Amino acid sequence: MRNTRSLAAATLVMASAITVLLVGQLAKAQTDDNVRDMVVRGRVPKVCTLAAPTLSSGELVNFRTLNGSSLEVDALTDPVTLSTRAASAQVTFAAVCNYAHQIVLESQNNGLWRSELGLTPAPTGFSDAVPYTATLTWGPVSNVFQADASARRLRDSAQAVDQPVVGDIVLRLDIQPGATNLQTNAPLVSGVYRDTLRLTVEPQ
Amino acid sequence: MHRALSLLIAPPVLLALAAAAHAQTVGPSDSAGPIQITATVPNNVCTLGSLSDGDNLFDVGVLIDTTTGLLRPDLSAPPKVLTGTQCSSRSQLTIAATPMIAQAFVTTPPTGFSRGVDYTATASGWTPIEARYSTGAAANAAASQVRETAGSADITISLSGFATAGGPTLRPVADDTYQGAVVVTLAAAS
Repeated sequence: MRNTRSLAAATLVMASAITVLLVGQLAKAQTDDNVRDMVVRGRVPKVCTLAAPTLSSGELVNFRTLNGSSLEVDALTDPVTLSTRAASAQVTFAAVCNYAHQIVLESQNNGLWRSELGLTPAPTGFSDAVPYTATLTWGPVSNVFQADASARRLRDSAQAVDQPVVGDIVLRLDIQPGATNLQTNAPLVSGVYRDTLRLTVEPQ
Repeated sequence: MHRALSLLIAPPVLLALAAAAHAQTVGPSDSAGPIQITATVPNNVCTLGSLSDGDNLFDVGVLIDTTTGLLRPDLSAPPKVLTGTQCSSRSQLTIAATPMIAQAFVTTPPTGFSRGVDYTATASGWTPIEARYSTGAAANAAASQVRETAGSADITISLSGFATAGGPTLRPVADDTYQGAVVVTLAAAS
C-alpha cells in the first residue's frame, strides 16, 4: 500500500512537472512567434572630393585671372629695380572629406623657377628663381608652406586632419617684393618663371 | 523565471495533503484518484509568419552619392514578407524602428556631418491601415494598428523615406556599418 501510494505520488509529481514544462514551452513559443526582429544595414565609403579652383574676389594683386587651373602673374618684375614685384592671390576649392584624412600641398620646383634653367646660367648678380608662400586653410588646420627657392626640387607638406571636413580649402599665394633666390632685390634674368602646385586630400 | 519556480514547488505540498488524507482509510486494497485531466485551447493566439527570404537583414548598400558625399535620394531595400501570419481573435500589429547609426564613428560628428540615417518602416497587409514608424518623427501614432477579425494573411515589411538625420544638407560620416533595427509585434487584443 505504501509502495502504491509512493508510485501514485511519483506519478503525480511527474505529471505536474510535465505540465509545468509544457506551459513553460508554450509561453516561450508564443513570445517568439509574436515578435520579429530585423536588422537594417548600410555603409558609407570613404570619400574625398575636390572641385575646380575659383578665385576669391578682391584678393587678386598683380595676378591675372584664373585660366582653368593656371594662375599667371601679371608683371613679375618691377620696372625700376628689375627685381620681383609683389603679387598675391587667393584660390578656393570646394571640398569634402567624410573621414579623417590628410591634406598634402606639393610644389614641383620649390619656388618660381626660370624655365630655361640649365640652358643659360644666370649671370653673376642676377637671380633666376622667386620664392613664395602658400598659406593653406582647411577646416581645423592651417599650414604655411614656404617654397623658398633654395634649390629646385620637389617639396611637399602633409598635414593630418583628424576629422571629416566639408567646406572650402583656401589657398593664398604671396610673393614678397624683391624676393629672389639670391638676395633681396636682386634683378631677375628674363624668361618664363613657373611652378606647379598640387593639392591632394587622401587617406592618412 | 520566478513564476515557473513557484509552480514546481506547489505540487508536492498538495500531494502531501492528499497522502495524509489517504492514510486514514483501512482495507486490503488502495487506490488513488480519480485524477482530473483538463486542457484549454486559448481563443486569443497570434503567430507571426516566417520571413520569406529566410534572413532578417535589410541591406540598403552604399548610402551616399560618392561624388557629393550626400545621402543618395534613391535608397531602397527589397521588402520582406512574413508569410502565414495568423490570429484566432482581434489583434494589434505594432512596428517600431531605430535609425541607422554609424557603428565605428561614435563621437559627435563635426559641423556639416551626421552619423545617423532615418527612415520609415511600414507593415502592410494585415490591418486596414498599415502600421508605420518613422525613426525621425517625434511621435508615431500610426505605429500600432488593430485588426478586428481573426484570420491569416501575409505581412509585408517595407522601408522608405531614407533621410540624413539632422537635415539633408549634412553628409554621413564614412563608416563600414550603419545599423538600425525594425521590430514587428503581433498581439491578440481583447
